Amino acid sequence: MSLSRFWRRAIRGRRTTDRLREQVERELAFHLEMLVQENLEAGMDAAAARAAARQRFGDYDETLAEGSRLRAGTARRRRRADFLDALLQDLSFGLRLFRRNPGFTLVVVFALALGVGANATVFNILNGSFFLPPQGVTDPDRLRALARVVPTRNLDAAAIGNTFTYQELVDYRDHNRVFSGLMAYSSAVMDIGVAGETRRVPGALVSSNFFAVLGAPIALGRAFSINEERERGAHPVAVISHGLWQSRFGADDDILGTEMTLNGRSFTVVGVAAEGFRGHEGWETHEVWVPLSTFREASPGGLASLGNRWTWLRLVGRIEPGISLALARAEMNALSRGLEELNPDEDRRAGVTLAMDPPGSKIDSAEAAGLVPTVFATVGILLFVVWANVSSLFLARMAGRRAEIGVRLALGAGRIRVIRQLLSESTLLALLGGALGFVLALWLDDLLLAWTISGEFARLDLSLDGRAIAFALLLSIVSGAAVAVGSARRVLRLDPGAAMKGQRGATIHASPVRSALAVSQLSMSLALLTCAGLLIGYLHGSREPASVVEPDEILLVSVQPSHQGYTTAQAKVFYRSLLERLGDIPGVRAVSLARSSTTDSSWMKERVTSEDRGEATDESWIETHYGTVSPNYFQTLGSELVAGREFAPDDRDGTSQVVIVNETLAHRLWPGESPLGRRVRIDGWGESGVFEVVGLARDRPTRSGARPFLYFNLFHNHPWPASSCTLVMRTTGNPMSLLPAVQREVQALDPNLPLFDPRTFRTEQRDDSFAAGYRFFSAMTGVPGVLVLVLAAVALYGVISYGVSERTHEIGIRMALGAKRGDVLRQVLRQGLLFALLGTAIGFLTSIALLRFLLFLLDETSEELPMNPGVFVSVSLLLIGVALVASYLPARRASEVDPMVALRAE
Amino acid sequence: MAKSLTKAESLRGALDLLVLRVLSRGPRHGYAIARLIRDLSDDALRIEEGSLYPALYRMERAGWVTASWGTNENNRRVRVYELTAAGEQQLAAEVTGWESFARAVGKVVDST
Repeated sequence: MSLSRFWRRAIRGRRTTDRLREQVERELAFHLEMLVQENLEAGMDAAAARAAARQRFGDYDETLAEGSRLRAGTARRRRRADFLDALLQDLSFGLRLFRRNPGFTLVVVFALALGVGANATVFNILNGSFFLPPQGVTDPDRLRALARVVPTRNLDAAAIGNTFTYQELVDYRDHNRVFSGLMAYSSAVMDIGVAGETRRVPGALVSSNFFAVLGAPIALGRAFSINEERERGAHPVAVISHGLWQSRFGADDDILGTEMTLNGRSFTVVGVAAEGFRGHEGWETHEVWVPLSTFREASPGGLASLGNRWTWLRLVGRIEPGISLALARAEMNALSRGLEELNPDEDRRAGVTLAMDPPGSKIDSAEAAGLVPTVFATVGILLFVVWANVSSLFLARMAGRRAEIGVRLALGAGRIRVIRQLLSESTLLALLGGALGFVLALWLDDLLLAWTISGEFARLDLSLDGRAIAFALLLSIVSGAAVAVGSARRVLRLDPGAAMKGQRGATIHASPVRSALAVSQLSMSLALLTCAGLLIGYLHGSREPASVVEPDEILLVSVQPSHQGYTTAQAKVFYRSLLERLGDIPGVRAVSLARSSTTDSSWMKERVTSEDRGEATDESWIETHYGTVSPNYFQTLGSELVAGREFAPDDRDGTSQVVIVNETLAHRLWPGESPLGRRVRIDGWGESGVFEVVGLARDRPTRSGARPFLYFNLFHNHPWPASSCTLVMRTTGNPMSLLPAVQREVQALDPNLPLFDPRTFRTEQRDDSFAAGYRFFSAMTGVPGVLVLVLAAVALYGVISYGVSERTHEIGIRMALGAKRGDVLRQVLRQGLLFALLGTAIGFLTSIALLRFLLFLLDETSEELPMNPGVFVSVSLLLIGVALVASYLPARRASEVDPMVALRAE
Repeated sequence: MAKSLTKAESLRGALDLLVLRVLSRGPRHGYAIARLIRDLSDDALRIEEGSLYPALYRMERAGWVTASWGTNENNRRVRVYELTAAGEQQLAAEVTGWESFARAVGKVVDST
């Protein structure tokens, strides 16, 4: 039957009601006629007879309508019962079939599990990180963050800022009419000491109405009062999270009123938040909250005040019910303009606006936004590949059942019935596969997250979300339909007569499609695996700066003396003593300090120019990244200076200021000359901004080429040495084993000072967030690549195997005419090889495009990163090997054909 | 019976009973059912056609009767209704119910 007839028959369902209505009309008409007849025989004239007869029906039209309704209801009920019966029958039939063909069932279920699982994995991650509402917050859709639009120096675009002063909080809080509450917060990491043990904990300074606005209840105790928010110094109180209460305080019932140290000061616990509440931002968690007034203690070194000087607070408000977002925005804009008029000199009060999405839930960066469709595209393609493969498996199986289906059709079964059975089989398999895939996804999620995301406080709550389950379920059902489509079309076109006679019919046409499918899968897997291999290669290549010797031997660990209230001078004294003590630890070969550990990733920069060149023009200023290091830094890292010397203990306050430059900077400022003895000026530092160059360091290669870099002396004139520092130590043996000794020395100097973030230099290189991007993408291409390869092998096996069974007759003839088994085997293998080579060629072109695209997403240029031929060659060999293996079984089957048997069969 | 019970209200309750009983004598089409009821009751019960067919359709939906198209002696297309096993059970129940009702009414009428 043609497709159009099929659809016409399906549409007929709508005309059933008309048909039934016709029937009712006919029935009533007959009865009416008989009554008229009676009346005529009784002597009435024609008109009277008709009228009387009609009258017996009451309201004729009403009766007709009611009758049609009832008949339609009956028809529906019967259809439903039939449908259920048929469904049950199909299911039991399907189950029996699965038991008879366990191989087929297993392959299909696993393939679908892969496809659905991969998609579910991605969906889970994205759902959890970006779309799940934060726990403990009531009605987060009504929350909006305030943002401000500020003109920038460039005048081309306005920047969006999201921090405000305390005075602005008060003004907006008191004068707005659209928020039921407006709160402020500022995140800060604090050192919390309980029972002698101090650890870093993420937290926030919050306004008194923080918990109220978020709708996050306090489980024990209370939140903060307005006085606590406003009065400096008088209220060292804190609210802790439920988790913190359990882990650090042992869920002590007497928690309220307990003291703990926060950055060395004593704070009193006055409240415990509800279980599960960790702030309203998805990625940023808070475990402790303190009032805004404690900013000096909780966030020392931060620029904050309770006046109008510093913008440090983020503002989030809950929109009143019944007020639209547009109205709220207009109101806030008007309010800010009104306030601006009251204080015309403050240009900070420029247009306040509202963010579009609830805070913490949106995808924050453009790259993340670009990530989502890419990743989905990849796993989406994988799913399509799975569908194609399973579909062809179904087709192959259907070929074997052609005769049986022909008989059924000839005996009167509707084609729809047959297709429905097919559909229920495939859906059943798909649901099984989907369930398996979902379980797989949960496991895969954990794995992926552990591998790509690092960092102390990154944490993701991937609870079993209804949305994730619904997604997997939907995908399974759609898969069930998708894989049955091809077979369904076959059923529609099947000629029962020919099928029963065993003729092959129009199946020859199917082969080119399946061959193309196999080749495309081969090429896709090549492209994916090649890209994965290349990305991993870049990861290792670029992160291996030749200048750092043996990064596995270097221990890095950070301290933050500013948290304990150290002044700059005190910190320097502390560092000096510490360096001495650390140097004495057996096993420590060299020790130094650095403001940030990998200077490559320093994003602090200044404008630098040469002092010796007279008047500085605009071009002579060079934007330079800088780092701050102690004496012995370069030696510790094993990267010798090209010229000059390191900082010495004598370089300190009072002596002339010195810096070390790298090759690129030296080349830019004094091309062709030695920089030693030259002087540089830092823009904006005034008189104290002139430094003498005493050393020339090697360039550290970064991904975007060599950058100019400047090293300041930690012990000399530097703005903020106190805040945090990383100890850099070269050790013998395993660096982490020396950690307890280091800790002892630090605590000998100050028992309240915690160490945090111990790692080796190698780990540091790896955990660079940039590296995470590479690793994420190499996972996103590598894993699907392997999967597609497996599926491609299955597809290739199917194609070759099918070809062999089609040509059994032909093979028989050839063998009867003298062809040897070996020849036949080789010929089939050659076919498989051909597929592999074709796939390799196409895959090569595809991989170039894919690589370029991935590098674009990673913000790189492709010219600098050459296509490593080694990777490509090895993947191609892998592909060819797999293809040969896949072709071997059918090849052997072909070579074992018995000419006599083959010739006798048709 | 003195009065003809043509009022729809009085008949409706017994309609199912009458139809089922008639069909228990053999399959019939709608007109024949109405005709037979009239004849058996000596013209006392004239079913309103407007109620008959809805009743038949309802009984078909409930599964008490099945219907199929056939031809009568004049080769006209007619829809013939037949009692099912479930219909027979329903008929028995209706008869019992009717008899209890009649007895109860009789008791009140015959009371002194």
